[in-house]
Amino acid sequence: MELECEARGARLIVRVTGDLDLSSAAAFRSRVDGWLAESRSRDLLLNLRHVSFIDSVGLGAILGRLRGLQRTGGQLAIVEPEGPVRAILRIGGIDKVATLFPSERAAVAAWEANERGA
Amino acid sequence: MGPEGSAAGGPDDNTMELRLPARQGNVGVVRVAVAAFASALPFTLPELEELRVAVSEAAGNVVLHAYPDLDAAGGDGGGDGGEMVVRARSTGGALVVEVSDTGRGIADVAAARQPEFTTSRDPEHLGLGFTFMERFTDALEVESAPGRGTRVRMTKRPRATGTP
Repeated sequence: MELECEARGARLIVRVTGDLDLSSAAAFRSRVDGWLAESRSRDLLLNLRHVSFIDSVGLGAILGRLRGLQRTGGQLAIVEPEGPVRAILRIGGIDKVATLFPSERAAVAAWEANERGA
Repeated sequence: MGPEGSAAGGPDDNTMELRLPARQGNVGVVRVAVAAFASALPFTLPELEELRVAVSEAAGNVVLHAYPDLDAAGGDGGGDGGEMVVRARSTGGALVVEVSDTGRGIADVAAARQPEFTTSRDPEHLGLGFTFMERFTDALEVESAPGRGTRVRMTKRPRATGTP
């Protein structure tokens, strides 16, 4: 798994590439939490477009970040992976707790529109 | 090969056995090997993904729970003493995958199979391993003896049987 982060104002974008599973969940957790704290971001956009595999531990790591964000009034948005991994995420119920977007551009546009409306 | 090419002598029947130290890094090895084995059957890509998840959950459970000493070392403590055995068999158009260990076993299998049951102290472990195995295969059997180990057997059939 590879992670890349980009802070944009009150938002953090994290791009995940590879497998988000038992062997990578701990690193995902600590690095994302570290970036969130460091950047003082309120909201998190997880770009999972290039995630090639996810299991229940990976799903738990995403939901764990969501709980942290909820405690501080932040939101989680997700750019969905393509193909079968996307179906696994949906079966795991991720669409019920996070806003899903087909692309990073769409997610950022929605954030910006939301901000203008606020 | 004619239209009935798979009829004589069950050429579709195949077996594989893997023995690996129960380490986190080996869960991916198991998943890749089983998916490669399964690709001889007419599974669709989504079905293969379901299988990859189910097998990873079974192997992940071995790494996380079967051998408490390894668990204490983060599940990647070197692998001495803890082994997982994966057997795959394709027979009659179905795939059967068994993941077994000789670890501490599960005291109450029925309870462990309930969604969100977990013995982990990690609040981010959802306890969905068996739920995913059940959801993503056609049949799941779990046999366990405390102190002797656990064997999980999953059966999955391609939904569209027969080749196009």
